[in-house]
Amino acid sequence: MRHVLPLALAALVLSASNAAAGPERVAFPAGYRESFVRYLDVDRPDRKTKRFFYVNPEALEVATAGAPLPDGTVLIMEDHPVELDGEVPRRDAEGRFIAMPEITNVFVMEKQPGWGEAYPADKRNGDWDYAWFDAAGSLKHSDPARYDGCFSCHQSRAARDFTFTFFKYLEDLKR
Amino acid sequence: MGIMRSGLCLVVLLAAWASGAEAADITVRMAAADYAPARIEARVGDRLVFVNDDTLDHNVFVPTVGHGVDLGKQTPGSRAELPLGKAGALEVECVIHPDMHLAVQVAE
Repeated sequence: MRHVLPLALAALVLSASNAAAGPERVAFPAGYRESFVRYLDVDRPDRKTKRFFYVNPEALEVATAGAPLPDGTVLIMEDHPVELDGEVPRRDAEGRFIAMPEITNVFVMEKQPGWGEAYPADKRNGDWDYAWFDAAGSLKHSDPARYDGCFSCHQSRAARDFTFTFFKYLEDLKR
Repeated sequence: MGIMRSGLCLVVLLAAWASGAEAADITVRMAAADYAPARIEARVGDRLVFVNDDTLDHNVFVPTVGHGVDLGKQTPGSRAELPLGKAGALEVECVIHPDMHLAVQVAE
């Protein structure tokens, strides 16, 4: 009996951890527009959108170029429609799209110790998980299967700790 | 004196031609999961025209700060254009194929 209780607790914790895998365990970073650091803007002509990329300052502070990103890193990709001339995106003096204030999507990826253990090796993105929110912070999709595309796409950047932009940003800063 | 005046006129004409040079379209081919050419020197106002000659999909992506662009998925046979509106060095990647790289230097 003495050995049964710890085993049962361990099983319960493991089960809870597995059950929580997916977007539900990624918290919406309320107030990120004020507290996070915007490190990159990306124009997306085919969707007539502009994307702003943010990182939490705690991660930026300790992240090192070329090394795996620290646990607790939170990265955000925020979508905006852009100003148009008819059907064509308007550009500023440097040829960049001009974002409208409206936010249409907030994609979050967060890294926490052990999070990746819930996923099979051919899907796992290190210890990252993903969530897709609206501007108010409500999950757009809670079904983990809707995030398979995130995992498969980010697999191509395994050498950059599964990030397309932030790992590269740190490397570029170092130059 | 006449020769000097002619030379001066030639210099002025060449300078005017250089500063007023028309923007160019520079074709970049995507074949065998590579960008060709892999290095480009361009000027502000030029356009890169990406032609997917491959049998695979590609997706032009620029993660360089100040130049970030995602042209979206390009199926075989399709073209996509990237206007160069700002001077600087930028790196072009492919979202799908991490080993595809193109370095672009854009001058004023």
